[in-house]
Amino acid sequence: MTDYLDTFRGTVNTWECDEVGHMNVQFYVARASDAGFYMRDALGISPSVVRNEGRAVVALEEHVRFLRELRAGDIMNMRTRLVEMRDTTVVTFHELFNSASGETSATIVAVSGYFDLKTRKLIPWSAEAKERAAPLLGPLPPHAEPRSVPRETRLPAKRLEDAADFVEIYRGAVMPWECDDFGHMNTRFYMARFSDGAGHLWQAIGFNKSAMMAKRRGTVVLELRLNYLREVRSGTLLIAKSTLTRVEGKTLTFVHYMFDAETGEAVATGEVIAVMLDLDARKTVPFTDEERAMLASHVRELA
Amino acid sequence: MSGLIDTYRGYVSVQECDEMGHMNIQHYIAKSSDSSFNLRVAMGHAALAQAETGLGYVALEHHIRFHRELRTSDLVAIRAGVVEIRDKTMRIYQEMREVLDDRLAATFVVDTGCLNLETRRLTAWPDQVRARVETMRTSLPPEAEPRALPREAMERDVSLARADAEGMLETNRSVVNAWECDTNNHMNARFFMARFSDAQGHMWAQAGLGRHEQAARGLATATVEMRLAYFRELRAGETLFVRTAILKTEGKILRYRHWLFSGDTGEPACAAEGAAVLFDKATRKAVPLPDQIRERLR
Repeated sequence: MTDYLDTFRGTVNTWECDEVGHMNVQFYVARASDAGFYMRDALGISPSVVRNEGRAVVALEEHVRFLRELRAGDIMNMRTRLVEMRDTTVVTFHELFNSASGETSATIVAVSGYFDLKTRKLIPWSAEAKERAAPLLGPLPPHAEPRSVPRETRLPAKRLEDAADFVEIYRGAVMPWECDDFGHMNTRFYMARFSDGAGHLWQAIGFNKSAMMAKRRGTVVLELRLNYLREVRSGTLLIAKSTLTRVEGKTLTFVHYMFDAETGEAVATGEVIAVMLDLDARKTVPFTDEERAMLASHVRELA
Repeated sequence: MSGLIDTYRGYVSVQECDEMGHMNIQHYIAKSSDSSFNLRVAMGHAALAQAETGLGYVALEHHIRFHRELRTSDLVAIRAGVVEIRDKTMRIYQEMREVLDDRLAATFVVDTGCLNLETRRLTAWPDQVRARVETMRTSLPPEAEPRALPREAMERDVSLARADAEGMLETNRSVVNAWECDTNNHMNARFFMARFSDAQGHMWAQAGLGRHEQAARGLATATVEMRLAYFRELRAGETLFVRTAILKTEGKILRYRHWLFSGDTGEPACAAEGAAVLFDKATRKAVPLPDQIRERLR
């Protein structure tokens, strides 16, 4: 029997909810980041070890399935275990529950790496960490397996100039309060930019947000994968560019690239399954034939 | 009596309000913290002078009474003065009012210490501070005196062993984020309160009246009084957890206790005694606690 660790317990606040009336995706990523501290601690990489030895664990990839909405005032908790320990990386499984109903709200499968804060490179796990990991290892449950977005893969490599025909959905800079104690932007704020930017992408493919809201239609994410390619520091200029790559049934596939505007390098990517939601029935809504035709004209194959 | 000076002027924004329809308690502390920075400058102990003097300023205890709810777009001002100064500590009084109708919104009695930033221990106030404080003397008005929480209600024998023995349940587990730390390089007082605020939903669920049932009955909850004692700093990256006990009911008041521990070491970092009420969301008046809660505490 594999042990689960309790890695987070809290409450959904109103300021974590968006216009769709539920906890925004960036806070799921934030919860996984918070849970990571307890996971590291269980591997013997306590905060004092982080400070004294300059070792950290950094996120490389996160795959999230959003199974049930969380609303303001809901109480929640996270449990975590390990799926696989490799040379320098580890696959972690986080499950976020609605604590009142006991139902799973989201599953997060994270690939993270052991990281030297001085050289800023991945390093092999210590024997101690491997030993401590053993009782926490267990298989990934079926409900956390990828459905429409594959896990442990990357989008084609691109630089800012390669994405000239994508839609710009974000342009801004990294603020000091977005950085964590490892000196780089926390994962939550990558997701925040993709989430905040989605309105620009919907607008570009023919869906005006305020017109949708007037019809009681919202947009939600069902599944996503984030790949963190480079660290970004406070003051970095960022641009996110996105496109629609697929329309299938009620779902759309979006891909997002975030670039360092100064160097043109990609710093993160996202692949996202999005749907339209009936805000009253809380059910997904199919696209009309007219909407499908319009969407088809915006689909772009990723080269 | 009043040596009170203006130390905060601001606004209640939408994102500071919670699902109860009023400003969340963490923002009372956030505004109180801003007020403290202004008071520090007035007493010649500015945060920006820290590098030179090596002296900081740290909250040791808060006794807060929440007199009126604040709603989105209310205008808020705080005036502050010094009630008492001792060798290494002082007692500060902060009065928070809604500006347009001059309603008393909250009173804060804050025990504060002069912190040696190198040793992280309390040290004597500089003479200059003592001299300046003489011009900002005030006395505590009756509204700031403890009401639902007598002074002696503060349990000071705080340990994880005792929390286990008393059956205190976990209501929060999280981590100190870098953006929650202030110029003293430790978690700002606001975020201790944020953890207790988040813990309340778990506490009410344990009391037998979770948030969904409250909403279904048109009810919400409010903190009316809280006393907090800070024992230990928390640094960015440090894990923490909260254990909670529901103590008793007194009329419409539910009394409870939160203990916040460092998850790294298991040491207590903060203890809070609180008094809360259930209120009707339409009339905004406190209602009697339902029998199911009284039964559970019997």
